[in-house]
Amino acid sequence: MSSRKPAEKGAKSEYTIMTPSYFAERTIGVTLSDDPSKLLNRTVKVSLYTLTDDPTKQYILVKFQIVKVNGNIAETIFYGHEYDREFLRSLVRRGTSRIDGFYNVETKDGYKLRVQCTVFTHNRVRSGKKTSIRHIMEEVVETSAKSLELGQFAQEMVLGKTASDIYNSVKKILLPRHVGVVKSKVLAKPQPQASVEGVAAQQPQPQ
Amino acid sequence: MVKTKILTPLYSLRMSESQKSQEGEQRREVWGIIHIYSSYNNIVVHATDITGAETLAVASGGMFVESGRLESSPYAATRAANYVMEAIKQKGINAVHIRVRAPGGVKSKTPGPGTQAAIRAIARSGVMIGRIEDVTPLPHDSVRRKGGRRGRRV
Repeated sequence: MSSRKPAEKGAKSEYTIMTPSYFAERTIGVTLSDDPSKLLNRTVKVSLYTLTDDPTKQYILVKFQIVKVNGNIAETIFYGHEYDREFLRSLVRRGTSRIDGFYNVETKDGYKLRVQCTVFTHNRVRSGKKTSIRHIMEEVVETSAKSLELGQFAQEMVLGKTASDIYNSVKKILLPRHVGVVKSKVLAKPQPQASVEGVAAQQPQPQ
Repeated sequence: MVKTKILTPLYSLRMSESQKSQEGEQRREVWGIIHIYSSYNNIVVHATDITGAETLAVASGGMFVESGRLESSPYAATRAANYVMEAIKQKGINAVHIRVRAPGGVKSKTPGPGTQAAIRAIARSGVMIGRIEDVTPLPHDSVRRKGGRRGRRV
């Protein structure tokens, strides 16, 4: 171990991390490694501000996972997103309700995700209304997941399409203060697709 | 939202300074992450690349002071942060995100006394600062606190 170490140390090269095509194929930054296979499964968390140049979107953090290495370019997939912890805390207020819903969904191309939606209200809400709001959230998330592939689904969640769909349905019951997909994460990737993708096949599948 | 308002002037200031030194040439930002683990007993300043998988430099409070009770002090934190910043500047990092954490879990959820000093030292090193984030692990419930049923017997 110790005799091998110095040789490994000198040989680290830089790899540029790119976002997937459904997030504009931007360069996020560089990472170092002596062996490209070690790059796989590394994750990068970036603010949506850096992806869209929209400063109002700074509170959304998007996570990407490296799945493929092409020369010096590391290609990624969407691996989840979340609200900034402080922003989420600023939404929670006394005398109002926060209605959470956690749903495990599967996209059209076989990715399994866990999605957390949250509705914040102006006033305290009775539990009957809460339940029906949760039903609405479940329906919206599951139908959109079923009909979309990971990229589109990720875009809708992160950029607010899903949230506005929920908003419009919830509006019939009560007027929400804030509606958002607060957090999502990829639980499992589709098995057959992973075996086709050269390098990814050597990696053991998570779960 | 609030963060944006505070950070924007900082960004422009730093950029103009750096551009001056590079004679108007647009400089390439190379980002890294500084992880600060700050407890009441010690502080660890750890610089990585943006994936967090590759360590660039690491230092702890205990490397710079002799006595155990000073390991978490602001002085030790400043020294540790300076050491790390020098090391990463040599490796070409010129912009960093900061992730602060306390022990968390069933232990203290507030960062120790060295945090402020470490962040200040990072800011003074001339490297651009992006996000400053609190990543203390907060349990939704909790695991059992150590010490057993009868507590810690001293």
